[in-house]
Amino acid sequence: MEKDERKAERSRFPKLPEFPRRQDEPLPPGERADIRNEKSFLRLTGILCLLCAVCGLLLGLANLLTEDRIAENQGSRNMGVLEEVLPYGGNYQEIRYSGGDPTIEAVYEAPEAGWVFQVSPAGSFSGRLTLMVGVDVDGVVNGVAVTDSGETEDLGLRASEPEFRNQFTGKTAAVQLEADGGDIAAISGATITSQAVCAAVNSALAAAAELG
Amino acid sequence: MNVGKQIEEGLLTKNPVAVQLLGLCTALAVTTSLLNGLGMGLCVLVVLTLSNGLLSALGPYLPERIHMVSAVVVTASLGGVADLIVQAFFPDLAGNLGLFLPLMAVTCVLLSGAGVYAYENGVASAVLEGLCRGLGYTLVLVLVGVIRELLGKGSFGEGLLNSGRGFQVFPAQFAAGGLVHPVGGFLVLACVIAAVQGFLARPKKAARRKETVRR
Repeated sequence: MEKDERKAERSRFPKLPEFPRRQDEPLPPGERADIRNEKSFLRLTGILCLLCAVCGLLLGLANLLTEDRIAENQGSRNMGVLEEVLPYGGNYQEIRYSGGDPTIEAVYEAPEAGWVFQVSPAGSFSGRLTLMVGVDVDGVVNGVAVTDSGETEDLGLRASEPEFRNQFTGKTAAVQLEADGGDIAAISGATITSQAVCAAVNSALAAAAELG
Repeated sequence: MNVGKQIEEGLLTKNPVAVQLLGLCTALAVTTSLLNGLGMGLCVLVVLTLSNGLLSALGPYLPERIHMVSAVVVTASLGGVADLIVQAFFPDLAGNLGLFLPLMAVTCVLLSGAGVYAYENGVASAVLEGLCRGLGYTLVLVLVGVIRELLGKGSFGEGLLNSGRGFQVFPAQFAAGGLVHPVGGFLVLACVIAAVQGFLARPKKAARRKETVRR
């Protein structure tokens, strides 16, 4: 009963034309006309799987061989920056930061000398700005370095030049730009970046006060 | 196999960047200096040559339906391997190229036309094609990189020549710093493309003039 009804329903629609097969072009040897043909389908999938497996193996092998060296490069680059902002002679220990400041990403402790804070301040001008701020045990800023930024060259990127960075050395209390009533000269044309750097230094000082 | 024609097409008349306008994203972004342009160009050259050779050799064993997918898989994998190698052994270059180093895989797929040439030709011819197109790409990148570095920073070969210090041709304060910015990339690349197009259009005119004179 139900079947008949369905049949009647179907017959009300006109039959779709068959998809035209191209008869003029001969198929490549070994190929079947229809992808739904099981044998051809399995063959295609099989070959592609094999190819992907080989390529994946190649990539995995390359990763295995280069992994240590890449980590080493990253480590030595970080170590160089750590030495720059708080000279200690190696042996920095990464410690867990449990304070409430979300912009502080990592803390490296140099026992009895101070801390280096990796800070990504909110409100950088373009993309992520990451700085290393070295603070000694007395809560004095020792050095600031930009490690990663999407800032514009010649404008925001000038934050990584010594003339700007060195202004922070020796600061103990919260820093502000001259325009905001402080004593840090902003980079002309890059006030927002300058503000972000100030915010990062302030975060680091606050965190150092918590730790020390 | 017409070696001369392939070389001429890859380097000049069908240059991937200056004539076919492929891979512009990387060509614009990384060409701030000779080192970056050359590094990126050589990476693409090697990956393109290897993938073309490999695809040409594999071609007969791959059904035509999966030709394009296979080309993308093989080229992208080789690009990934090259990315890791550069990160491991040339960390400074990897730092300069940044995001555009992994994008190399895409550039290579584009430049090889998803392996169309490689599948239709023999291994030797496909390798030569990859080599020529890679060289054409490198040539434009190096040219744009040198112009931008020279006029934008007043230096030449920083990080590469003269034990990494490069040569300061004229003091940096007289340089047009804007050329190192992205906008400078567009300007310089446009000038290079215009120059190449001008050069390609010129011989035809000369030949025509000769003909009329003869008549």
